[in-house]
Amino acid sequence: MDKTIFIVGSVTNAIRGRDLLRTNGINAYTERTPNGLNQTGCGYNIIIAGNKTRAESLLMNAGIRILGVSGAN
Amino acid sequence: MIYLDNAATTSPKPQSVLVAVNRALKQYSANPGRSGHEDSQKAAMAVYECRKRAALLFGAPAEDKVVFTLNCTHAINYVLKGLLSPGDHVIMSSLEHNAVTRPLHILSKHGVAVDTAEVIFGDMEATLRSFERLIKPKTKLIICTHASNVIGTILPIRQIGEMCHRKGILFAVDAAQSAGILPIDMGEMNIDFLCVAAHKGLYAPMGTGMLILAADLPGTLIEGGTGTNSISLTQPEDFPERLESGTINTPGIAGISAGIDFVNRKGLDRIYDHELQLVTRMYDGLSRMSSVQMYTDRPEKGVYAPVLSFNVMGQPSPVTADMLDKSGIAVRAGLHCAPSAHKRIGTLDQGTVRACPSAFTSSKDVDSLLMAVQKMDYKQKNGRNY
Repeated sequence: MDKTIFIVGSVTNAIRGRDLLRTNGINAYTERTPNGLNQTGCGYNIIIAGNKTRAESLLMNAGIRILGVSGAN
Repeated sequence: MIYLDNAATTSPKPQSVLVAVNRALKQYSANPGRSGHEDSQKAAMAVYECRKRAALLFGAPAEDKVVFTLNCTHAINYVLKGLLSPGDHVIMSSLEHNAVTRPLHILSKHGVAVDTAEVIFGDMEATLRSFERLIKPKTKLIICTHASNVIGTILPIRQIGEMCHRKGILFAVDAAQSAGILPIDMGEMNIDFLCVAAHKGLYAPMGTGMLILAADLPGTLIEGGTGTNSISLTQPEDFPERLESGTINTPGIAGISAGIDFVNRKGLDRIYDHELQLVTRMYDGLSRMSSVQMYTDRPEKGVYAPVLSFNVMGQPSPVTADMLDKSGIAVRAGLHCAPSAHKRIGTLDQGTVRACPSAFTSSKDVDSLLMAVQKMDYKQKNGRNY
């Protein structure tokens, strides 16, 4: 399954988002945003292998700001 | 040493807190929220777990609204200076600590209007009306202590919060003396900003506090590195990092986690009942001594937090405290950084001796205090001066 990277900024948002997605049955983990992926400098990602649309909706409804979305294999 | 100065900071700390802090120093020594390596992520998880615990304990809207501060004063300054602008009006109570009165004093010199609502002892309805009477069209915030650090009086924060919510006014609570002792639910009580001294009722190390938000706080007070959005010169919008510039106190935060677990294991009700029982024992013993002056009614559940002030008449409060210290009993004398409260009870000149138990205090400790004061009472009655 293709992976999706949600760039969320802070580590708090990353962990919060990860836990929220896992609670909703979406496999997710966090990592530091690699250079080149984030236009704003430092940040954290939530990486999922699952339904991107559903995950995005869950994160946004929880007030977690998504700064960018990228696909990864 | 019999330690009865828990209103200043709790001592001793639970063994679980000592273990947690030590473990954090060893295992979470990387900077959380800055790097991507495993150690940094472990530290970040430990910090996040604490936010979750605090959010649950206080009924906060979400974990990311729990901001770690140096102490309660720091949290209060964030609220007042991050929220109020010239032309705004704010109301505080007549029992506030300098953590509230001093920043408001500075802000009043810069165009913020400040009014003081009289706390009517023994009448929460009258206290509520006292706040309500002062509300103006430009009232932006009501801030008050949950419980006085001098006399333990509990303010009607649930009713004040409901009134604020109805009138569209923000509500901040100084929970320095109540967090970990009295139940607090930010949602139920309509609290927008909760300021917590983690090193008191939550048994965490000194140098720890929390600001928990249920409303937006536009100003930041301190700006700097947050580990996010580094390319921008603007402080990030998202909480909690917006208010946590610089490296945070991870070992202290691990201590907060362990302290919250300790409080949860014991149960708030049990802690409050235990401490109030001790303060009532103190009160009953002291009020029987003819040369001891008390300043409140007998402690009652729901009316008083477990904090007690008294004086040995004819003897300055620091002298009493010093004599107690020589008897191996630690209390605090003077104005307790709360001249407003002392003005309210008429002790601005001499201050009071303040005693406050913790979950670790025993009735034997209280009896030792009573015996020591009884000796002073005897000497006073027999005309021996100090």
